[in-house]
Amino acid sequence: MLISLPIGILLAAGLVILGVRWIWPRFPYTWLIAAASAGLCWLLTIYLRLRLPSTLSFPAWKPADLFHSSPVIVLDFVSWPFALALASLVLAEILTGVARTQPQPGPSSWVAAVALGGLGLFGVMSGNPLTLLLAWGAADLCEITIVLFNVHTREMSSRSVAAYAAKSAGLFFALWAVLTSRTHGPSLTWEMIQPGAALFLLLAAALRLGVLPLHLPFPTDPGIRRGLGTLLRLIPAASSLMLLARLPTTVAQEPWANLLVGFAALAGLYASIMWTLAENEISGRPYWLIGASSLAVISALHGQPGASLAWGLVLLISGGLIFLYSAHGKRSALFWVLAAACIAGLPFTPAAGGWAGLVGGAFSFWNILTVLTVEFLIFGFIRHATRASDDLSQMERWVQSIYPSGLVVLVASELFLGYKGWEGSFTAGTWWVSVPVAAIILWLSVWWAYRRGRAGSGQLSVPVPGWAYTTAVQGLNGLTGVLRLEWVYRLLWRALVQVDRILSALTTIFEGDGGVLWALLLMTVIVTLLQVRVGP
Amino acid sequence: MSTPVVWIFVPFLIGLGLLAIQRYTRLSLLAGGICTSALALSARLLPIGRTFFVGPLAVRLADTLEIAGRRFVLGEAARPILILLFLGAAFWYFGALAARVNSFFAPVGFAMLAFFVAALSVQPFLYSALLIEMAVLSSIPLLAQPRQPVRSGVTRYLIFQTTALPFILFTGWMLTGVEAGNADINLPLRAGILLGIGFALLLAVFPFHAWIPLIAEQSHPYAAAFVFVLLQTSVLLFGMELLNQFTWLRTAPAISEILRLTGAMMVVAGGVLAAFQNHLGRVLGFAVVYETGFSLIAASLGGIPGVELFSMLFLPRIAAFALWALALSVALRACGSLSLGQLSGVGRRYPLVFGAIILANLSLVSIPLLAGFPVKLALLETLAVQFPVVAIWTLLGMLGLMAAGLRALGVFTAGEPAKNEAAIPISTQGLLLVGVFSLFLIGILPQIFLTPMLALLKSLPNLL
Repeated sequence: MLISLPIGILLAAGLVILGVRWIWPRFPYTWLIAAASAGLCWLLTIYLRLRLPSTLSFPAWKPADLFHSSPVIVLDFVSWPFALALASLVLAEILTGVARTQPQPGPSSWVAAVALGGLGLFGVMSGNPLTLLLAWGAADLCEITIVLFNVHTREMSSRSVAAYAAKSAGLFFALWAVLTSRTHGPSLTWEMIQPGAALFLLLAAALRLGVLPLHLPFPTDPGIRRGLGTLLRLIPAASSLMLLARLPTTVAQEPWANLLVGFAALAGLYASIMWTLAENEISGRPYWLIGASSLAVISALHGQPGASLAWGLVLLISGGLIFLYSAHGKRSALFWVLAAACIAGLPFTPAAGGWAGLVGGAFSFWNILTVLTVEFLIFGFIRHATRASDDLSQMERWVQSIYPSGLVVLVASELFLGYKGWEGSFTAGTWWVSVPVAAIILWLSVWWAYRRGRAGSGQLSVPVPGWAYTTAVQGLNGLTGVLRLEWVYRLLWRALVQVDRILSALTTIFEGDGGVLWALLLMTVIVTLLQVRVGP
Repeated sequence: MSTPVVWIFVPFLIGLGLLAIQRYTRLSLLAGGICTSALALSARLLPIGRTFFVGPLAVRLADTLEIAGRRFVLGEAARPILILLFLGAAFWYFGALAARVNSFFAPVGFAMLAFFVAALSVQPFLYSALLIEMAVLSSIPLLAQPRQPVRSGVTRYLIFQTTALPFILFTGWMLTGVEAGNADINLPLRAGILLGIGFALLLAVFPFHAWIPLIAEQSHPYAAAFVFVLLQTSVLLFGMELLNQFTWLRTAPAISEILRLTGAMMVVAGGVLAAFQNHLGRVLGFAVVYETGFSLIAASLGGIPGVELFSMLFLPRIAAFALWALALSVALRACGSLSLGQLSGVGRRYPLVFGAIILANLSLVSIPLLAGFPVKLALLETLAVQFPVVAIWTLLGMLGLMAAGLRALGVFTAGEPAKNEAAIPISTQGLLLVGVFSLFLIGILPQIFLTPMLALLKSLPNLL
């Protein structure tokens, strides 16, 4: 029962704020309600670490001969780290919200934040695929509603619907996994995932994350607020990352596994370069998601679910920090430095175990790409973290106190997860990769800082020489079309237009004046065929 | 006093009474809603075949009524069917208050209900065909606009439904020989084929489906959906009764295969064709075809799971179609058209109305959390075990219907948000909200809302 409390607290807080606003539209303490509930949820989630594993079964679906599983939530060493990451994200978003003024978050924003958080927690705590499907259904409907109420152009509306369609396609893949499992025997559970079903589950997660096939519904951010927009992008990803961390060690057989790793590695490299070159962290947010997700997908494909978990947490927490880091202060640099160290997977940080999923097996060309992906992700992270932004010291005193506490929550949670997150999380990991990676990044950063210092602060917009930048952009633009499979979609669209024409012609025949005769003729043909098949 | 009097003749008389006050549409609809609720309640409470007291009056409800040698039987087993039909009708009547249907809705609805209950209870069964035809004929005033020429959809509807009549009558005549056991060895096969064609016409099986999208486009969406759902529910129940009644039919080797193939074809055709429609009414029409396919697939599975699935499909479907039809009616009134080309950006002016349309669509697709999900998941799982290929085709149909919904969503939300929200009456908004919440409740708590539907199994003991 206790494990449902974090979800219940957040959802109840959303309802309370809505109710209070309905009765008293100018109620001034909605932020306080949201912050208190998110804080309570965070503390409770930390406390629940002492009670792992815990399970809560909801009333069973009946009749039992038809419904082979019922909704269950579980908090174990896979779901708890994600639960803590989400609780931290929600709390951090609300706490750092005090420093965001353009536009200023309001009660509807708090309601959306806690509701998304509650649904996200439900998703990561899913105890079986049925519960995950329900959580995905809820999260998708919630997300599309919030997005459509916040975007105001035709293009963004279409892209929002396309994003929903892609997520629904992922949902259908998960459904297919459930069916595949049933054809081979018992119902699908996290404990028993057959290889055929595992591949569909991986594709479901990868599709929802935008990695396989690479797709970016929002090449530019839809303009939703920094805080809520961050939750909208990160929270739905959490349950897919949790799914990756639950996959068995053999997800796909060769040559499919290698092919999928290749696609994911290319997608990751492309996204990480775009992330580095992005104008700012908000416009680069979709690329961060794909770049970091690709690492989790590759780890799962390499049969390292623990590594997948580690990269998933980096995506959520380090990503959350950079996207919520809207006001810079002198001492706040410490937060992003620690978060960047976590991305590098330095020994005894959460992602230390993540490297095993990327370079742990036999050497292949894709290993190089994944290492480069991590390099670019960190470099972009540093670049965006050091970009000019709002000055915290110019803000009111109380803002100066509350805003950093949001960042503290994120960094503390990330470090705590590295220490006590799951069995084996506190490890030196593949230090012979992580340390050189960090060293290269450090050297590049120093060189870049030196160049920026010489050029004058803020005048060096890209961290590479001009010729390299131009070449990279041209190459990437060419690659974008290929990797995003838009040519496939164009071909599909043309095929659909032809199908539409054929169906229109058939409709005209069946609904036209001679339709009855055509129907009778077709019926005669069908009956004749059936008679031939059934008769002697 | 007998049960057929209470649930066939009384509704018919109520319909006649409502005809007298049909000018006062809202009053007649309200009265209709109350009467159907009362009839559903009476179907739940009244003891059948036992004496009970109404004040000092001792009443015994016999389960059989004989008229000119034909028997109408509504026994204990028929109770769940009566509750389903009258309770479902009650919801449609109350919804009709907001949908602004024509003044014939209340009386005609009762006439249809009376004929369908009669069709389900009459013995020998061949008279059912006549009663269904009477229900069809009585539904015409609902579908045709008063004082306007009858349009092609209604004509086509009449042609197909009337063509079904001789097939079923002829089957009844042939069955006399089959039951006597002295018939030609091929007679059951021929009777089965004729019966199949009759049902194909009644249920708008491809290629006899054309009247559904035509009516859905040309008639009032709420009235059209009411006719579709009532006809579909009654004919499906009638079909299952026949399977239950005739051993030769349910043991015929090909029956399960034919039902399954036909069902899968309807799911795929309905779903895929819906994706290419440019009129919201037509999308609803193809969704009806798609849903009929699911019922046929469930019926084909046989045994307890098949019949359970068949029974549980009704509630999510009725809830989704009621909401969809109500929202379409409100949309038609507000926007003047249901053509996608003229609905660009309307979702921003009427989020609840167009959101309800999308949710109803997604519920039929069986998106998790919505009403259609639990039972269709169970159906797909059962199919995956027995007939995985059919399960894959079914998924294709679901994707087609989903594409239709998302395409509509893209149109509804395109463009700038409107500055002024057009007024939708609070009562209508309330009804839409109730519909939306019911979809979620059924989807989250199937053990509460779908389990009662299993009572329908009582009327089909031979199929278990």
